[in-house]
Amino acid sequence: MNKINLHTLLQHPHLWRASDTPAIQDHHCSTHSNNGTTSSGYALFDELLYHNNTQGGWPHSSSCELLSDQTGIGELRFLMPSLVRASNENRWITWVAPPFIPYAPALHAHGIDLNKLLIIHSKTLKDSLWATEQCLQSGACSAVLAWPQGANYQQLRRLQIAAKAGKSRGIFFRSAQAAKEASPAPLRICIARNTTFRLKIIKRPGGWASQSIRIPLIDEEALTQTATLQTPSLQPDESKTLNLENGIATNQPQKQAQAQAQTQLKNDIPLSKGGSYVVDVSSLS
Amino acid sequence: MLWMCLHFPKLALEIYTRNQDIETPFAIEETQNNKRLVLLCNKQAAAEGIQAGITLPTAHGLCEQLIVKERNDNLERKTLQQIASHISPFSPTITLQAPNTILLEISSCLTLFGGLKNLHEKIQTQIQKINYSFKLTVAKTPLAAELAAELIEEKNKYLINEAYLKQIPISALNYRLPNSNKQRAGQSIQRDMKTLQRLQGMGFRRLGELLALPKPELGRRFGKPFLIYLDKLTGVTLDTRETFELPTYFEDHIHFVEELTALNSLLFPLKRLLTNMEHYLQQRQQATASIVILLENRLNQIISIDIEFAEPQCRKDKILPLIYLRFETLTLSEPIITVGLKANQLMEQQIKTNSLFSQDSSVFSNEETNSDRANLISRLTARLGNEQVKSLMLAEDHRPESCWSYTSPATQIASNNIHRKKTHRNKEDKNKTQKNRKSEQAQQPRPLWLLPQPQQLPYRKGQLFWHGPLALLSGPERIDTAWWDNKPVNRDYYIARHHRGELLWIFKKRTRTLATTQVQSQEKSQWFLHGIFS
Repeated sequence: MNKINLHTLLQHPHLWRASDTPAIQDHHCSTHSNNGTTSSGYALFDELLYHNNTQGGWPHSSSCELLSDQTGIGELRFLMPSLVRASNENRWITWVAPPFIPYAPALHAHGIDLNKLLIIHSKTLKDSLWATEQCLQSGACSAVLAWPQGANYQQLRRLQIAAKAGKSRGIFFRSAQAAKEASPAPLRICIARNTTFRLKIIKRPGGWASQSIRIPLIDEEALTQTATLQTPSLQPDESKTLNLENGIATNQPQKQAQAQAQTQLKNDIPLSKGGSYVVDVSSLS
Repeated sequence: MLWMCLHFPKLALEIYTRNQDIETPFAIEETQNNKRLVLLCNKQAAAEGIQAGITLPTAHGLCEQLIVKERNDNLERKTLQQIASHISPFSPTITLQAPNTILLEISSCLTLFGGLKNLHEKIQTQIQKINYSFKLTVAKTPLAAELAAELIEEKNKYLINEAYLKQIPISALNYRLPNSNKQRAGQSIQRDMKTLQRLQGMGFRRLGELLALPKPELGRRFGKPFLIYLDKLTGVTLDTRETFELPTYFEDHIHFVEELTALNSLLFPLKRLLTNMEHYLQQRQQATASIVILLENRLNQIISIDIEFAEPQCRKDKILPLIYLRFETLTLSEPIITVGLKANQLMEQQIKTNSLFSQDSSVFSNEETNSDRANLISRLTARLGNEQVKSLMLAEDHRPESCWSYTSPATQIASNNIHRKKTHRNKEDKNKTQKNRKSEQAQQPRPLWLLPQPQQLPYRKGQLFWHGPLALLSGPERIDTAWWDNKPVNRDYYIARHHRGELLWIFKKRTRTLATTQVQSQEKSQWFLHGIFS
């Protein structure tokens, strides 16, 4: 009797066994065979999502949650490589009620096909959830990005089912508070930024919660390099600033003015901890 | 020449009753000689003893619950046109005879439809579909067909020969007063009773007796118009009539006997209208890009609901869900008496063909996914409205706020089609654009989030502050442009870092004269947050 029970229990799809955990299995196939996942573009992260002989990466036909209290900490750049892949499909990438405007030139620069973008400006949570569900289950969206703040378990479960039905990827941005609540999403990731982008998987298919890991985002170096900084207005000395403004006002070539500023910068400004300059704005006028 | 006449004796009544099962007694009234008379009534009313010709007070006396509507000529004319367009596939020459008769010239179509018997059957089934009761006759002249259609009782003897014509009693002749057509068009036919009575007074009873007489004698006694009438009836003179021209759009209405208060109860009649429209479109191999639902309330105000499709549609089962979605957000303030459906953006149906030997069957074909994408847009816009569903495109401008714009998703699908075809032709192009893109990217980093409005950054303790102090990382990138129009931009853009690590796109407003800079900067910060490098 007990034996049968145990056997049926082991057959249960919601059960995963420690022997299936990624660390134990060895995987060598580096080419992306695309069986149920899309590579995130970050090897470190893909590895965390490796299980059951599938290639590591964002799972298809499923929903995942990105939990954070901050907006703009690099969550979009983190998603960008996989979204670029998604935009090669002839399906929409839908943004339901984004907090800011997705900036077309930047998306284009990353390589996303703007023809595939769909932005829905729904005004109420009810409309947003309805639109998200419609998009997910229609089969016409490769990915749906949504910000369902305040959605309850049942509503999220409907979205998860819709994503499965429509073979779509639901990406839900929720507050860090939601990490404490149960959620039907198979993949839940806490993201944060503390000088660099960090993530911690709190729930994943066939695996334990992970440690917090650092992910070097794309373009991070290009954006943060300080060599290009030419700040004319960082001078504590007011007379010098005036001098500079005069230069521009009298149509002095701009390059010259900038060069001048740079030399002043090297001389006067102490480097702050992060390798960037502290802006002392009181002296800027 | 062979003419088919379709006579709709109960048209005025059936405008209201054909699509609904009405259980209450219902009648149509008409004012004749300042008397309000019952013109037509339904079975339930007839069972109460009401019949055509009795006055309205009598009718109300017989039956208290009787619902009465006044005869509506305008509506009858429109309905007749609708019926005409419904049977238009059968003949190129259709004429309308107000108030309730349609004539078709069929001698030229007999071969096509395989003889008169087949054609008769086909037209009969076609009209039965739209639920009007009718009489059908075929004769050599339009007048004879018309005349017989009013008299004929048996359905099988639709072909009118000369022998039948000769048996028609004089009292039934449809000889109209000259100019009677110019009278109120909707009125029942005004016979020239005076002439007919004179004929009867002279002892004529059948038409045949009249036709046997020498024409000059008849003409002398009854005037030339009567002679012309007889000639037209027998086919001696040609009876020319105005042909009906098909409207280039679809429009149909259902008029309710009882007012409807619930939106859901409108769906059933709407389904009927959609079926009619589907039929109409299929016959013409057309599809419609939008439909308009017209609801007339009891104050005779018309509410029109536009539903646009991302892709032309012709199938009812694709359109109906969109109507459901729209109705979810609608509320009725007044009861509805009429529902109408109009489709006037008709275009050729696009027949989709998939290749027989598809190279990779696992991948969805392009057309298929495109129509999926379009269907999604239709559904979303049906509920949320056009304004809330947008797509993005680039624009030729240097200003960060103007170098992109929202666009309609439907156009994106269309442009995607063209784009794909182009890229298939020329892959080198694609490589080039990718290279260009990369070089652009290398030049100027742009944030993924843009703020709808630049947000002013205050100073705190001598530092720029936005949820914490900011530090400048790189810059400036000067954007000084559009001095030629109303919104010039003169800014230095920097990338700044928040102490938690967020990267922000901020700019400092530049003013051209030094004096104003100093004054303004004391009052207000010239620094603004414009984007976030998410």
